[in-house]
Amino acid sequence: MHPRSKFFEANATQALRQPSLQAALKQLEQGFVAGRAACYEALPEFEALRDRAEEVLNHTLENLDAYLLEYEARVIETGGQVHWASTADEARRIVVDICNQAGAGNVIRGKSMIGEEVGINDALEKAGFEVTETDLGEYILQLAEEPPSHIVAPAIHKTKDEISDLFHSRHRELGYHERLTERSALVAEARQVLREKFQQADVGITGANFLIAETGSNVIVTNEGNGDLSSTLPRVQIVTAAIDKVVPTLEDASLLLRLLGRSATGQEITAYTTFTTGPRRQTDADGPAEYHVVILDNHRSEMLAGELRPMLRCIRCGACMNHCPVYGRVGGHAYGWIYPGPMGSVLTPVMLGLDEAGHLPNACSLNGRCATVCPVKIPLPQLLRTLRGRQHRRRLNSRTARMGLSIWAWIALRPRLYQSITRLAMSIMALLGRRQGRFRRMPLAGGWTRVRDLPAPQGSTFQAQWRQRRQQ
Amino acid sequence: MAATATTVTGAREQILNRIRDALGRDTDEIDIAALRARIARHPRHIEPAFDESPTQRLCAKLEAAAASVARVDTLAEVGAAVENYLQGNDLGRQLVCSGDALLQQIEWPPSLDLQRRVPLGADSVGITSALCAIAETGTLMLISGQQKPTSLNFLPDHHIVVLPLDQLVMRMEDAWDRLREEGAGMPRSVNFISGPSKTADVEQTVEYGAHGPRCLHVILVG
Ligand code: SF4
Repeated sequence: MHPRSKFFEANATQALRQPSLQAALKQLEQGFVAGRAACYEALPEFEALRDRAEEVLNHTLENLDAYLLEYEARVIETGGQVHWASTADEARRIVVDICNQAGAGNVIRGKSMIGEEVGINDALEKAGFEVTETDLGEYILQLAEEPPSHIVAPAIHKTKDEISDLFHSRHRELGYHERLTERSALVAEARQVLREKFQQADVGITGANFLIAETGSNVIVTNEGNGDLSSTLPRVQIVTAAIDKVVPTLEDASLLLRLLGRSATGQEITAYTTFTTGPRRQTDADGPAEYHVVILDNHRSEMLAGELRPMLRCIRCGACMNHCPVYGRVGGHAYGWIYPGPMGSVLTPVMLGLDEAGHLPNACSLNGRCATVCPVKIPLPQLLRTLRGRQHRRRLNSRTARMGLSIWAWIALRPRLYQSITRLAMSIMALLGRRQGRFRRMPLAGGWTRVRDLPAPQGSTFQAQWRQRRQQ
Repeated sequence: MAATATTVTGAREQILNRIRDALGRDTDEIDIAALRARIARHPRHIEPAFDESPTQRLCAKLEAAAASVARVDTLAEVGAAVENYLQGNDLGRQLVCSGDALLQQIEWPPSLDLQRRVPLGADSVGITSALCAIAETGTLMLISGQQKPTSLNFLPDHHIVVLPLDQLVMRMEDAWDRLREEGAGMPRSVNFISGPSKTADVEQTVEYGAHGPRCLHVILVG
């Protein structure tokens, strides 16, 4: 996908004017957010699980090279092949090569964010393969030629009407002529269409929620069962996964599974959780003859080195975006790439560069709701601040912003001066705003006052009031 | 293809080296033996407590996930329970059946046409047993094998699972131990199934039967 993160402001403005998107985003609150809250209430061990998950993942990251090698050895022992890719480009080439060697015509995909990250569909289509997404949400987006707008519910922004039109126009060539309006009928038609794709496919490409060093397995978590059919029916299975997906043991995966579904959709467990290990054995009745894993780095080892390391704990549950007031207003497409919301505001600048995605770390009020719900305790606001710092040091933000911040920092480091300036400013503003109690316009705060009034301060500063209260 | 092979090996070393640099140490500075020992010990973590009896919990969780549950006392009654289900749902008399030992033991009524094979897209009912079931989450654990095609768990519209209650365990960790006890290593596929296939991709509203079975029916024995 061609990134559009540079245009965050314009994208966001546009998103705010889309009533159907706004309705879908509101529903998020009643769906995923309420679901997670109910799970949280029902499980007294939730916080303990979060602490342990953080510990286990930190341990894994500290020994990442060793665990990856253990994992690789187990995959090879069970008859699979491991391919390593430093960059998205390498990953694309490896996948295309495997499909070429397999003499494949049709390729099916189970939902995978790594597939989106490296742009596998484009590469395969350019190489002449027919690619079909099998996750219903991803399939809808493939027909609509749109990127996902949520990492768990990719087509969350699409209305039923839009889907009806889409199926009506795109399924006609397959012999379906009726425009369906019932939700169940739409799901049934997609099931039928995709069943045929499953049967014709030579290669199935899936992602991995986890890779297990103990056994060389990959784990796929779905509700639809599409990932399972994708990894069972085709002759060749390709798993695309990043280096940060490895965990040591089956028990470690079980720990994380207790958090994943609850945090993502408010489910204790999804309908299907599948561990796949190598190609079919001689004694197996079905399954693929070839099993390949493509392990991708794509800037993750860079994150491992610095302050952004905690981001590599991410299990892609989507809770941070579900609970983000910014995502909740502008939706996923505004972020301009495949990872939206708080996690995307950390990942996108790392993967595409701060030049492209510099707006994202700033599209945050640092309210901290994301970090409170993150099942693996990633301090997202802190990581966003780290990126803002980098931006400032590399002079990537606007000159005015830089100057303003430098002046503010200079003053803030001098408490006496800071206090007298704020005291003065507050009394002047209180005086000027005394009649209306609010300002319609304010120099240097045009962005704020264009859409709302600024309440006038009461006269004394926060620090002064604090001191007064302490004395009482 | 030689080109790919070189890129791949090159990338492997590069990635591993970058990781070592990032962690500020060499691989020989790691205590591999300790990591392998942790894998061999595979320590368990926090296991949420619950009050209900395991059977109660299993049934409640399965039903909450829109699966149906029937209970019989002995294996001899399974055939009739299957007949019942087929009749109740107007499903004819044909089923694709996994060849696992448990189902082989059952004396099936002559009215049923059981076919032991890999299923096709058109088959509407499949029947299997499970290695075990997990009370905590209401989950069935199925593994692949000689007579146990994985596609049987996903292709037919209706999936019937026969589960003797002595194969009920408390948690996923216990299920792993069960599997380890079998001693045959990790099967090609381990499927944890906790309900029929579903999707909420159309306007965040649940619909059943997205790709896998629309209906999951569990027959508990004992
Ligand atoms: S950052 Fe945390 S909350 Fe967000 S997707 Fe990753 S694991 Fe989930």
